[in-house]
Amino acid sequence: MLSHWNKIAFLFCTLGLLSCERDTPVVLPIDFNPSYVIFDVPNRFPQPNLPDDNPLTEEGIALGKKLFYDPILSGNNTLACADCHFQSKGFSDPLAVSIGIEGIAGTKNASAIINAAWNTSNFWDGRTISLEEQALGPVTSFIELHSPSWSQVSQELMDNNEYKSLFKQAFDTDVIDSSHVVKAIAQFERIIISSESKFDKFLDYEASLSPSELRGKEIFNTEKGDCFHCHSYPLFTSNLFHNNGLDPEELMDNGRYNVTNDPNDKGKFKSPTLRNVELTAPYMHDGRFATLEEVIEHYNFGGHNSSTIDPLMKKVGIGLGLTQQDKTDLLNFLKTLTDTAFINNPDFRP
Amino acid sequence: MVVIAVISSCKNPGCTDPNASNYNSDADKEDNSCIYDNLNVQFNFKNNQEPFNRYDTINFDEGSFRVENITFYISDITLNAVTDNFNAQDVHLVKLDEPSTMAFKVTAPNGNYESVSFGLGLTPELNGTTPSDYPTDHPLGLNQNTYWPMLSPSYIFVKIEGKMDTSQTSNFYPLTYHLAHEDLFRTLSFEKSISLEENSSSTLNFTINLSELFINIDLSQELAHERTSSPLANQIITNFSNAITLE
Repeated sequence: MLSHWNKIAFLFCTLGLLSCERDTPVVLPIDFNPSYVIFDVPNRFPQPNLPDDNPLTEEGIALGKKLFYDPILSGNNTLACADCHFQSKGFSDPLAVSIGIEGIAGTKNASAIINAAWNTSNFWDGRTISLEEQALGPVTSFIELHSPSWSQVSQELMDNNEYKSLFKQAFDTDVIDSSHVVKAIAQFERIIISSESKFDKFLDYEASLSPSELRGKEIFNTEKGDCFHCHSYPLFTSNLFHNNGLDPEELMDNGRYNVTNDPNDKGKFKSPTLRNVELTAPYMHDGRFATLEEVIEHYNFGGHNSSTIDPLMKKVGIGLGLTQQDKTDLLNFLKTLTDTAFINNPDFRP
Repeated sequence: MVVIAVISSCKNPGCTDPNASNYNSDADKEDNSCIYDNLNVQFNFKNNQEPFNRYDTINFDEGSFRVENITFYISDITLNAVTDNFNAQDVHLVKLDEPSTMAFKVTAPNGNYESVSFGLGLTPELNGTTPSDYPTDHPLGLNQNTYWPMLSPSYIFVKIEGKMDTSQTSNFYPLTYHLAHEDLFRTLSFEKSISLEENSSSTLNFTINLSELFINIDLSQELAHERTSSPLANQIITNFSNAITLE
């Protein structure tokens, strides 16, 4: 066994062998040695933009998962992130709007957490850019987890010996603050990846689609159904904001306008991913549609015209003119986006 | 426990000037390899002589078009000289709603050139790639939402999106033209004396006069993605090409 000083001397000698020109003193924290995780990009997906200041580590992901499922982040320790984002529902909420710890209903349907590593913004109105920013809000929101303050959340975590140890391992810190919490949650959210649906397997020649599903694929990807402009492969979202004609002008929700203050953004919402859409009911920003059949019927009707209707809603006021068979085919195609490996993935469970 | 260790660092040679086009952020030893952009290329949207912005309206005999989005690809930028040509071998996505994308810089050899040409759209080689081949924010990356993945997949070379009113009653309805596929690729050439000298840069100012967009366009026709080409698509890409001039 090497003595303490021998260890240091050994470290110096080892590093000295690597030198080639000039020596630079660097502080090395030798107790902090997280296991860095290489982000596994699925076939046909692009490399996402990952933040340099929050690299994925096994310790960070595990801590993020524990926090995601732990009601300790809520004001009365009764509600966790996972209580509005169910794995079996594609990490969405089956309620039209989620209910916080005070029994107050929110105003928006909880977004599904699927392939969030590729998000260019978060929430229906895109009010945060990073997943770290996203995780900050719900903890103290009075209609969600309603913790009194982040400082109280941090203190509660620091009073917990297990969390003290886990944060130390993940971030080498004895002082836990909100930045560490949201970084851990964001790390966990980034690995929640769905890429093994029947449709993915079809593209990999590992599964075949039925004649109805194939017809539905054509409807989806052509002007006939015109779904693809806002929900294109591989993410099945454009990550952009659209007014899809849900309401006439006078009844429109502000949507993206609340963030940009641009009247041209009224009624616009971020297009959600359609991966696992069979499981993420109800639909739209306010959860107004209980079934996919209702969603298809909305687009078949064509939507309401308004000053901010998206130019891609080319059949507004006219309708798509889909037959019952077309609608059935489109529905069957949408169901090929269900990823059973994803909703059963043990890596995402508590 | 923390120890102060002496770590040895290898010097990494490269261009260390952030203003250079080949700046290497990993380099910590200047090797005099820096190259500087010497040609600025700028696109200015106009309606006749007036500057044109997103959500402005083009008025013409048959109606009014409120423009919400225009994007187009520029590729294969070439400077032509008597003896030798220079091909920049790059691609740019110009967007009406993002002024920062309307201008870009090119690093070209110093010399005298007689004309400049570029592709409106993507060369077959570039159009044969897919967004997964690029980082998400690359001009050809996924976040641009310019790729149509179906049979005969293609990037959308030119997007024109907005709302049309043909009744003069402010009854605007959505109208979108997405021009894709290799047969709509156009090479545009402009005669211009360009002199590139050391320690100076030149600017090419292109104007896109959107008042020419709807010349000979049948507004009752729909332009569908699945057609690889159509008389309507050809007319629109011709109009868009003709609308681009070099000051």
